[in-house]
Amino acid sequence: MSAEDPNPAATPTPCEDTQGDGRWMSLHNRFVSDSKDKEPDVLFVGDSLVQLMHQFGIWRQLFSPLHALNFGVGGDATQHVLWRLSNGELDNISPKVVVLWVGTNNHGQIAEQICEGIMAIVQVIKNKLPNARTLILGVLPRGKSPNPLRERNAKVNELVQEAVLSLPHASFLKVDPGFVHSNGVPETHAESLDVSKFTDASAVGEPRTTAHPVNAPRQHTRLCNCEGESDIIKGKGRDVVNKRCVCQQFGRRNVKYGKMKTLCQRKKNKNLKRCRRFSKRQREELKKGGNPRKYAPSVPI
Amino acid sequence: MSGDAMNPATVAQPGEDVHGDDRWMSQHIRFVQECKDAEPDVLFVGDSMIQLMQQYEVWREVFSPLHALNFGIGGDTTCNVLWRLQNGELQNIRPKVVVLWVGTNNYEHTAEQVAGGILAIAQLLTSRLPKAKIVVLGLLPRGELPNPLRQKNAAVNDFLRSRLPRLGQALLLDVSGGFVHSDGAISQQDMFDFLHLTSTGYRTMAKPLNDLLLQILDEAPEPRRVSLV
Repeated sequence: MSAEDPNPAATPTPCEDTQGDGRWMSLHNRFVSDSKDKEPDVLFVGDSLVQLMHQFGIWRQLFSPLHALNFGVGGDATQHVLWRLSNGELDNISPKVVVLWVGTNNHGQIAEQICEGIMAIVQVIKNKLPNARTLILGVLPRGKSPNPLRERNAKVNELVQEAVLSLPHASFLKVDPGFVHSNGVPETHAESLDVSKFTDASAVGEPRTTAHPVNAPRQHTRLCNCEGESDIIKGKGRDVVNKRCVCQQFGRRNVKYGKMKTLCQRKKNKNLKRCRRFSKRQREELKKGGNPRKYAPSVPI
Repeated sequence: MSGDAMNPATVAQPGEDVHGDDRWMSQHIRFVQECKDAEPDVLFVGDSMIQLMQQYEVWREVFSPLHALNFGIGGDTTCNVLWRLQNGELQNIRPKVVVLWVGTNNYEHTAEQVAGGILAIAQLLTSRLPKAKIVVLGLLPRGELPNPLRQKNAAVNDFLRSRLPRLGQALLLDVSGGFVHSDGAISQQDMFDFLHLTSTGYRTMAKPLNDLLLQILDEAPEPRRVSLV
């Protein structure tokens, strides 16, 4: 006969200061003091995915105008958020909506425990802010290839989605627009390097501008002489054309002569038809005048 | 004294996959792949301080035009960076400058050991890239208020200041000025979690770094390249 162990994911627990600079508590204290001064209509609470949102332009564009406050702390699991909300971060404010995004850092716990943790947070919010609605964001997939954490996160989302059906004050929103490709690998933008889906830091990246994901081009050893985009950039007293090959992140510049050659051109690979970077179908499309930028290479596996 | 065999911060170690999604190795493999195609003039390598730089505008505006590659991985210690550089992340590339920023995550090591680790990385870089200049960025203060880690990071910088010049090609750039205010506090405007820099914070440190890089790149002669078909 064993007593049921309390669920660690649903037990309010402050974060231990293992590193020695007290940052977690500093942030918590900041948030408590923000609660005293500010009057948000929307409160974002969660882990690094919430916290980092605040650092990008998208926050100012979309969420600041809604009078939003950001109470995200990197590394937080459900039990940490639970503790924070139960210890002052919800006092003195009355937002209309609380956006909750947490769960990916609950390591060593199973999906059921994590779901319980999330629902416990929802309950605390209901107790402290009876008039607020809670919007729970689905946990995103993670890791380059399919792995146990992806399954766990997907299961958490399933369970949470089910659990909120019976709650009038809470809803679930799936925010994964299709980060994972048909080949199981998240898309990376080799050109801009703005968003690397391998890190949770960039999971809330800038709005993506690529077309519908195409099959990942096969790995190749030869580079093609494709038409890249041309920018004019102001050089030292002269304008220089910067030809960027889409195969490369950047082209080589010869500032002295103002001439630009892409890496591909310098390697003298002239035959686009034989370039194995593009699949046969893509090469056909390119021959007909397609835009090579549509086929930005993903990282070969 | 730092005999290398006795300094744990100089022992190369890959990142452990503690969580189960193998992201550290995925990132390392990706960097090795990038080495095959790219021809960077500047290579940035280090921990999250380097990694996050790429997510902000400042990267595209200031460092990308220098033909820079970013090989930062969040959470990395000197041991992890050493392992990565020994295992493929320096293959096929010949940058003129390497910017190294690591050390703040070496929680298990003393300041002297951390400095030893950074020196070991600088030595490795010098031996693999004899013509490259190594710019080591000083560790930034951290935490909202004065705390032991601030003292530790400052001590690491002091050790580096005295020992790095012996390597010849390496120099220390201290970008920590201005982050700690007169009351000893660090502002959230500069470091949103009192460790990682905001967009504003990066702009503050990018200026002296960029100036230094431009200086170095202007001096370095264009290497002759043999074109291979």
